[in-house]
Amino acid sequence: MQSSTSSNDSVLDANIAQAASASSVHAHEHGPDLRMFGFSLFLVSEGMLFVGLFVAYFAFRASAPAWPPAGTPELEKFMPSVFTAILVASSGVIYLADRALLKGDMGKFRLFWGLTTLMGLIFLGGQAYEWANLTFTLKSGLYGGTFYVLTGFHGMHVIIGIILQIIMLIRSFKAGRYTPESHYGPAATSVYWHFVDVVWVALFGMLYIL
Amino acid sequence: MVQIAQGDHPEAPTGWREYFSFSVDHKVIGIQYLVTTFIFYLLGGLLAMVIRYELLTPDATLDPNLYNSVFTIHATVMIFLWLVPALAGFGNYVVPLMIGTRDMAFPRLNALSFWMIPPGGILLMSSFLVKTGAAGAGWWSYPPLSAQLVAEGDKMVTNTGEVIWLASVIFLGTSSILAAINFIVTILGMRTKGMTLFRMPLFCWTTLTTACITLIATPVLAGALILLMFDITQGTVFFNPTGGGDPVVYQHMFWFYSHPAVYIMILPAMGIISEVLPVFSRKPLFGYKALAISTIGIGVLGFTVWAHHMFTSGTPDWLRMFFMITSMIIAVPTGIKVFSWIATVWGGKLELNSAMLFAMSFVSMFVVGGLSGIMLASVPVDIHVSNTYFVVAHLHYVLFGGSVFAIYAGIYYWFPKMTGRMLNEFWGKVHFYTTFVGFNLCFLPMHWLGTHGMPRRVAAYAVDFQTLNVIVSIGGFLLGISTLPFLFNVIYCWIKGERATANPWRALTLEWTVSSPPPVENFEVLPEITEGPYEYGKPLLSVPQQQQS
Amino acid sequence: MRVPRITPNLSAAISAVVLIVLASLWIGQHSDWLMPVAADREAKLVDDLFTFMLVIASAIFLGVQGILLYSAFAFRRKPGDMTDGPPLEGNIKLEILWTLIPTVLVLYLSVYSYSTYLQLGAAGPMESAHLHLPSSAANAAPTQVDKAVLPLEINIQAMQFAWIFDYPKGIQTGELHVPLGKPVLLKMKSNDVIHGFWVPEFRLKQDVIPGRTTTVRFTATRAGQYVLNCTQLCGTSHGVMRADVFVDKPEDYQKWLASQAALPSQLRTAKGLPKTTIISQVPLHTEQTRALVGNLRTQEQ
Repeated sequence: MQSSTSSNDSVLDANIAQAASASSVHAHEHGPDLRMFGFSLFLVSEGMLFVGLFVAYFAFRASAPAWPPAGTPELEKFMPSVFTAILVASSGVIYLADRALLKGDMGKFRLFWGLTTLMGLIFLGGQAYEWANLTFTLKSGLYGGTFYVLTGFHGMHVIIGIILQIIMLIRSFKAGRYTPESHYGPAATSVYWHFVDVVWVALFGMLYIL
Repeated sequence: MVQIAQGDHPEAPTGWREYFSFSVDHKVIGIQYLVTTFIFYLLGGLLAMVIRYELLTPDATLDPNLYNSVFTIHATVMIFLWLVPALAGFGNYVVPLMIGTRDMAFPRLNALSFWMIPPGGILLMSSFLVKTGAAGAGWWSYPPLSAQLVAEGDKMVTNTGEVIWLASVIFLGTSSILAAINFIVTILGMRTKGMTLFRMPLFCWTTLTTACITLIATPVLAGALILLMFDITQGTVFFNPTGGGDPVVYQHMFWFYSHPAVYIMILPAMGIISEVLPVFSRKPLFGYKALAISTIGIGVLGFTVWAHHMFTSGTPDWLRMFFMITSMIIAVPTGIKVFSWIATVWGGKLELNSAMLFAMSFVSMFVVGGLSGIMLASVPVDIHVSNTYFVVAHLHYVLFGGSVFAIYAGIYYWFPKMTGRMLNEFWGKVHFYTTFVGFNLCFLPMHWLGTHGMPRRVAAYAVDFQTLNVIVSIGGFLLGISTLPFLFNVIYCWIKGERATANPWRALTLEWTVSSPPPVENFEVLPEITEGPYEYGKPLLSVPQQQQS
Repeated sequence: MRVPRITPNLSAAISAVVLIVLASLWIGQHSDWLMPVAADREAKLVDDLFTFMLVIASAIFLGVQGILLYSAFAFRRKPGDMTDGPPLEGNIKLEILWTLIPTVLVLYLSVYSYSTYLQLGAAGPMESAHLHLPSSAANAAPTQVDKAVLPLEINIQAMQFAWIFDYPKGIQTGELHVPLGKPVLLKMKSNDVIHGFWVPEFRLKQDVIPGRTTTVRFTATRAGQYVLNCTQLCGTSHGVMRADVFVDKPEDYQKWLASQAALPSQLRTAKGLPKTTIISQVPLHTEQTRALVGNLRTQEQ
């Protein structure tokens, strides 16, 4: 059904409809696409997981005598900032991919989509490099524990995002799989990617700057 | 085992195999939820019998570690495998019918949420078989106790039972988050024409609120359990004070979920009661809007009271005061509900069948739990009675006298709709009276035990307490026996019970406008709503079309 | 259509209310059996608050149950009567009333509880020793009377599954003795997991949390023997993690202290440990517990 009809329908919803024509009943049968709504709720839940971990982090940090603990050097900030910039920029790039998809320009969509994936991979590489070169480990008290668990959790989300992107990219080569009207997969993936980005910005602030 | 009416309803599920399949029909899933969780309820009940057996004598009879595991798993099963999912089962079956839609928003996700429960439950129960025994740190699983190594022979090893417990609770939590997403989207996005929010039956309001609480609170529990899992398996020190960690942080995270979890377990139960009372009183639900709004109020306030579980945990004074006041205030919306239910019953034309008896005793028992709850909210009193049998009494008055009674009421009420058969009233009443007597015999004396010095979670107690403990145990065993007439009734009537009409109770909500059991996609034509769900006693503007079947 | 009487007869309603109030007050008068004897100053305060809440709770309880029971008999449907009850959907005045009254009531209860809590504090604040938030309650204006008397400080170690009491001059015992009428300050530490200190007759409970010190203050007012229970699940023998508590007359207390000083330390602490049958099954987690249990086992042999 046309989107105009279904929005009209929801207006009717609020009132007591006196006469139900056959067409409006039919319109109601199909209803709006609720998948994006559901997915946003999922992200709310995911967000609460991070909020819980963040609050725990601050509680631990508040109870520690020194942060980072004596003997542990401050985190190196320069390279992580560069990788952060890349990840944040990739949010813009995936937005461009979205726009291209809305216009039906599949070539441009694939270009920007692939570029996002690449930027995500670079971020992950940077993350892996940093993990490999840190002087502390998961077991180094609260400082090490929170650092690895938080960045690890986020990294896991980046990996899931990249996998989703690769799947969408492959599917996009099938003609008509994604159209300006119907592209729930890429749309959800891109919302997810923005979410992962926002979480990282918060994490970066907490772990590196504060 | 289950042969659903065929013939007259060609579209209805035609065989028991449907119930063992990955069906995406919300009604099949609803029944899957209810039957599965009831089996877990029986298992959890058996564990309760073991607890009451142990407490017949003042000395420890069982192996103390086993006893710790028994009450830990009893609580975990009752919460995560019975109350939470059983109420979700009613939601699954009833909500789409009530709001006039053909299915839940995401049928496959719905089936997935259900099919996560049996493996999660089996995983949990299987922990009794591992060498370290099942988790025994209480369902709070407070570190450092839960993170301690345990003895296995002469060696000290990682507590496998605890790890399994954590894994299965995280797993079951994920299932309930997925179900919550489905409920919210279904209720907000799929109501039929004319079904405004304030025309929804109250059960939909409570399910919606519950789903929101689940969505927001459960991930925080998952976060806490994941950190604890790292402590146990990876040697991190988040909650380990010897390494600089802080066990109290765990308590905050745990109760941030687990207090709202109480509302996850009681709000839908209140919803069921709000359906049953008007129908059998033949009166509109008194103060419908107030009931709906107080549901939201409880849901929101529920997030601000968690630390009242930690009044003796070394919580700073100002926190104790803050959480005392918020916890007290939650009595207000709760009171509104109770008074509205009473006003609904008052002056009606009561039909005291099993559903109504359970519903009315819900109100009566829940009030007891609510009043002891106010006492527990008061810091000075709580300091004396927290972690004693007083709390055990309180929580069972809320979760058994409350939630379980409501589930029974719901089963008696909706069984004809679900199966197309009526339950037997005589056995229903036998079930009700044994449950009611057993329940009060079991849990009322616990208040006294608690104030006089019996801590909870103990296998041994002072000799003076034996008489009352024996009475409590007798009540407990009676409660165990009381499930037998119910089981008999349900199984017999499901197969051979009297056929139910579409609307045996002359109720006005939408699920009663379709045949019993309803056809696969519920409605041939989606209904259009022009009035509220409880218009009893008014000249009927719109008699449900298919009332006579 | 016959409309059943919804508005109760005024005199009947008033007499029901009066009856309920009288009954609740009577319950409040006879609430002693609901609490164990009071053995310290704090217990009296808690009991008064408890009794007050009990009276209110009884009134609500009797009211609700009364109405439900009355309805179950008075409003039962006649067989064959298929008509509905009156279409009462609500009553704004009534609803405002039953929102406002509970609100006022719980706010009053909060204030009352708070003032009781402050008095507990004045008599000996149960302040928390939060790790890095030194509680202000310790300094919060003790009453003039108490200022003069320095409380007797006793250090407590909680461990799986025993309580050890450290008195001044290095005397370590397995029983808690406190003198009658003198303020006592317990400073509690845990060697392993979270434990809970609770003497029901004192109405005081406080978790003992590893990594921090928590405190309990009280002034015992009744000589006698009581039991200290562990109230926070602490493992295998949580249920038997008890210790004897004695409130002694001051001269008895001094006598006891002197007798303890004369004993070898193992004998004194041994009393605090659970029965040996259980000890054999206990995983020994900490050095302190190992040492204590070691002592006990050598004595047994």
